Amino acid sequence: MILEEKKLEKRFGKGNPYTVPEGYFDTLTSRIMSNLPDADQCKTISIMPSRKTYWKQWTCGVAACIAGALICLNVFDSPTQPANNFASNNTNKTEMSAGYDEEYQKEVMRYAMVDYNDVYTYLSGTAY
Amino acid sequence: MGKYNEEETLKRLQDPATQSKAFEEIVNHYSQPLYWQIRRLVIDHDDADDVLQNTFIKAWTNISAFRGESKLSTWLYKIAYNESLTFLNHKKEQMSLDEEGSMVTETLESDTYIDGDETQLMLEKAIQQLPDKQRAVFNMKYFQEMKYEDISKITGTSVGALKASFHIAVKKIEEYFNSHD
Repeated sequence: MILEEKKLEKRFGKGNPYTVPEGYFDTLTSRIMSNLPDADQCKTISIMPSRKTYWKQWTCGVAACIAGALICLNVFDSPTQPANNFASNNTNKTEMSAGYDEEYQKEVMRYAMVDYNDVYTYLSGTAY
Repeated sequence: MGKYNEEETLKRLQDPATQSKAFEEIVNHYSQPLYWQIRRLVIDHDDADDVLQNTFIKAWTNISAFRGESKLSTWLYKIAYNESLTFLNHKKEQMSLDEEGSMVTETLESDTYIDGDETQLMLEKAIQQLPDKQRAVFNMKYFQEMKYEDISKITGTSVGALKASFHIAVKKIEEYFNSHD
């Protein structure tokens, strides 16, 4: 407590000069409750995530993991190109890789029963 | 009504079948402290009663917005604080600056529901000279003895700024007395 506050308290105290009509607080709760709008105008609160939310989050997580693992396997298991063919194959590979990767990802996601949105939602941590 | 258990009440508030009863317990538990917070800001009893009603109506209709991340009391005090400031702003829009200053003094002197001794009334007059937000901070810290961290959540102001505001408020009150002694 700062010195000035101590001085104020010493001089004036912390008393309450305000009063209320007699019996005001006795009927206050019932008066407030009777003035509230109908319950259908307010939504039920959800303080903790529901079971449904947990299930959805868990499924999304597992599906995204499977999709991620299959994509990684494809990257590391791709057949090694012989050194002398590298130059000639490089152009073709670059041209083809975009279409091939996309097709493969789609196949993986079909297998894992997820779509881009699920993967994105999981990775960005916005799943509820 | 039995002893208030906030955890239990909040659980029942999630069930539409028990929601109304649970909210009644909340009203019963918080109506008095909220009334006094509002009353010290708006001064007049009838105005405080109106603002309190609006506070609970707003809490009831927006109960879905309460996520349980902060304390229920903080959430309710925040609504009451905002409702009080909105009320005071509307009132000020309807009157000139001169009327505003004299109205506060008149209310303090003539209100049927003000019964303090001369010293208490003098302090109230000094507090009424402060800007609304500073007055609210002063009341919460001095009379309600709230922690700066809680006031910060209610007002949306940093703890540092609140400490400075309170310090300035105390200085202004001292100056008021020095000039009126």
